[in-house]
Amino acid sequence: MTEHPAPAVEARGLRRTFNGAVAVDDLSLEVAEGELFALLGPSGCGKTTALRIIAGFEPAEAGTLSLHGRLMVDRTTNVPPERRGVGMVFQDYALFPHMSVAENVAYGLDDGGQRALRTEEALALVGLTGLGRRGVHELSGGEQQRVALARALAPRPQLLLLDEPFSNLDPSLRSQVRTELRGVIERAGISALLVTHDQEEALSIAGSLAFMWKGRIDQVGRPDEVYREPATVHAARFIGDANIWSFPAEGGRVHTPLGDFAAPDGASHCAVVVRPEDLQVQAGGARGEVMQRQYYGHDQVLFVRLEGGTELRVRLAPHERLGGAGPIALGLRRDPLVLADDGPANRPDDGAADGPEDGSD
Amino acid sequence: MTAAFRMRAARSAARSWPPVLLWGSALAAATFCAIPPVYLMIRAGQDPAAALDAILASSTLPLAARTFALTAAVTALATAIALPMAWLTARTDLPGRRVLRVLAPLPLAVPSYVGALVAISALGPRGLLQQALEPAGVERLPSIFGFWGATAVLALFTYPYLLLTLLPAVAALDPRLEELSLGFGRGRWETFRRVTLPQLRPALTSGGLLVALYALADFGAVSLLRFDSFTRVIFLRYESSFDRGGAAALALALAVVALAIVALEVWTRGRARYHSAHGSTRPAERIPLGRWRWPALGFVVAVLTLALAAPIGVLGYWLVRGIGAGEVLEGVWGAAFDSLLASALASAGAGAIALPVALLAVRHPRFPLTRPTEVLAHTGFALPGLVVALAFVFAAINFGPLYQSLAVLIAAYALLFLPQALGATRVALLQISPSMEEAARGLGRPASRVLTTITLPLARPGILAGAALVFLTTMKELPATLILAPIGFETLAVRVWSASSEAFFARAALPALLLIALSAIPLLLPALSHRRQSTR
Repeated sequence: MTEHPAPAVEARGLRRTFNGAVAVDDLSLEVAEGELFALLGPSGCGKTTALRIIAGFEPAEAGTLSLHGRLMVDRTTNVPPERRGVGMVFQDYALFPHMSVAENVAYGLDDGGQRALRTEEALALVGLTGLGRRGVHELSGGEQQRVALARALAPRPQLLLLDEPFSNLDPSLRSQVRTELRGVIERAGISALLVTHDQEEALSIAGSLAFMWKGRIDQVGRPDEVYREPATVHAARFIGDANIWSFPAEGGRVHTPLGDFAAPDGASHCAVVVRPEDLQVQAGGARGEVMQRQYYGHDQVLFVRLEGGTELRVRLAPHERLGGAGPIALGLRRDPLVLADDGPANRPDDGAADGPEDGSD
Repeated sequence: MTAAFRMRAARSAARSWPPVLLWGSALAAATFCAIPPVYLMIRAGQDPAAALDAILASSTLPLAARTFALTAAVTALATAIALPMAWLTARTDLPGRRVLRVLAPLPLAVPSYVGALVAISALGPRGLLQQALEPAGVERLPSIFGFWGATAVLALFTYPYLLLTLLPAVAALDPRLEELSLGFGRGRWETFRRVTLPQLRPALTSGGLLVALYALADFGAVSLLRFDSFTRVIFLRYESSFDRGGAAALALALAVVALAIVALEVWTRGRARYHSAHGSTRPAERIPLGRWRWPALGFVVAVLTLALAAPIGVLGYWLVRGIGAGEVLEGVWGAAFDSLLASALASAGAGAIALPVALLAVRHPRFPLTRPTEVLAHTGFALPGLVVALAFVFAAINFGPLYQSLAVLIAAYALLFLPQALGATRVALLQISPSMEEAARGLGRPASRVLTTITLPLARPGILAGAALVFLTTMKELPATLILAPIGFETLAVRVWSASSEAFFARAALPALLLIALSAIPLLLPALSHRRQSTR
């Protein structure tokens, strides 16, 4: 066997509670060397707590953590944050208001001849050359974010942690800054762990992502894997747009208006997940009525009520079937995903199975 | 739950403890603050029969009633002065409101015993007013001494405590609520009573508490005005008859009364919780006073004349007359130096003690030692200076060499005024986002370095404001200084007191004026720095 470098992050069974409420439960994850990894989940799912445990700002009650093969947390160890060698970018940037841009960036650097040079390098890396003397209040939100990034990168950490780094930015800026961030991380040649509640952000930027739900990791994989094959109903609902119906399983099959499909073994209830783009207009398909059409330019979404009352969304190419309300017949481009949905705790919020589920916010 | 699991849980809970140095110094501060109550109890407990006698003596109940009546009257009168002043200067088109807003809190720089001294020398028997009226045949004026004199003087020089807590609350009033009420056809007065006043209640009770505790603890003014309140009786017992057990017992009783007043405030505040209005985005319209403009201005000017101009004018008159009569002014500069030294040391001491307590309170609110530490740190808030001083006498005697040393006096000041430093430091720390400190630690800096490079520089304005407040209050402090000052150490306050208790008004004039001038500096600093900022 060839020798692999130790993973940048290796967490096993991390746990943290606040006054009895579990924030992080049996959390295990691995971030490979050089990877940009996203921890994705709705607000309150424990993803920020997980990040804070990795950074050393929050103690773990159980579990172990190693960074680049160095043990940071176990039953008897808790290396303080200043000795973890990790760079962190905070959601509010946490720039020091009493220091200039250059002083902020130089804060983590030790005195010596290299200090000024390294500060300039870090500012250049994020494209802020020449702004070192500015006060942090004189900068725009995007510039502040880049200062926070330069400050975290200046001491040359091997691992960068980012807590919702784009949430304070103007939406029009986000996609540009996202591209820049990825470029900067690649140029710095380091690993990064990013926490976000924005599925679009996670899908577009990350090499791998983990979906977190109620303190636990539901699924880990490449963005396309998690999107195509969500492991749980929550992951399906949260990541991307999906029509999700709840149906009882009978004899190992579920019967839906779009056909019969195999149910997972032993499941008595199933969640049937159909992405809107997996539906197509098909003569002889399930018949229904277009209730509404929303046109987006690059594509369009039809809101359809099938005979029998099931409502669903269909994404079509922009020029396909123009026109408003009227009869329609629908078929599937590929078999839907059928998930066991036996947890009674899950089912009540599935009542709105045919309601619009817009994952993005 | 298995034992092993419980042990593990306990160990990881221990991991999130604050640094030992932090909670250790906060605990030391709390222990220090526990000295006065503990020593009073020990002292009174040594001879419980005598202590009980002193408390149950037939004179004690009327004494308590008199003190309580004075406290209530002062608080009511101070409210009647501060509430309209705050409203007029903050919300109306009062002429000259900008200057008046700077002047309005300044009477805080006039110690109440200086106010009493001025009142006696001006309005007392053979005072300035009577002498001026003598040609008209006026032989006697109504007596300035006693309950009403003490009430008027104390209210005139303590209303700024209420004013300063009311001003931000008045400025934060949501004008929409008042407009809504007026829109429903309620009159101005009913709107004020039913809408405005309830919003101001938290500020009124907490400011009123400051005034009440001041009136309860005041020693100089009531003594000069010959009103027998608790403090005067305790001091006389301690000083003349050396009845220290009795003095301790009465001090304990006074402490209980003070705690009862604090409890009353906490209780009323606990029932009525008002959240500050969520951002009234539009600044309130100035309310036109119309034909009430000039009467309103007359009221504000009258208060400031009595509380500011009159004291300075009368003292200036006595100073000129004293110099003309060859009054010796030497020694005043030494006293000014002693005052400055003691005040500087006290504000440094209070600031140093406040820092770990505030850090613990703000950054580790759930740590089990935090709440008790915070509560004990407020000892000086509830205990009158005289009580704390007596406790320190008893304590210092047991630690031989400390008795009659400057260190004990500074320690008493620091304890008495710790809550002021603590409040300012706490607010300053609360405004620093914890992520700022975490960012610094994440950049490889240990907690101690983060404290000196991030936390303290960011909190500095607040910490300095607290220190300035302690400085001002120490300048004016009288009873603890009288009891604890080492031989040969004479502050301006003591000099004013000894001259005025013997009615040498001319001799008291210069130190009193110096005292007012030096105390006014911290009060004027914010106004000055504000002006500099706004002209930039």
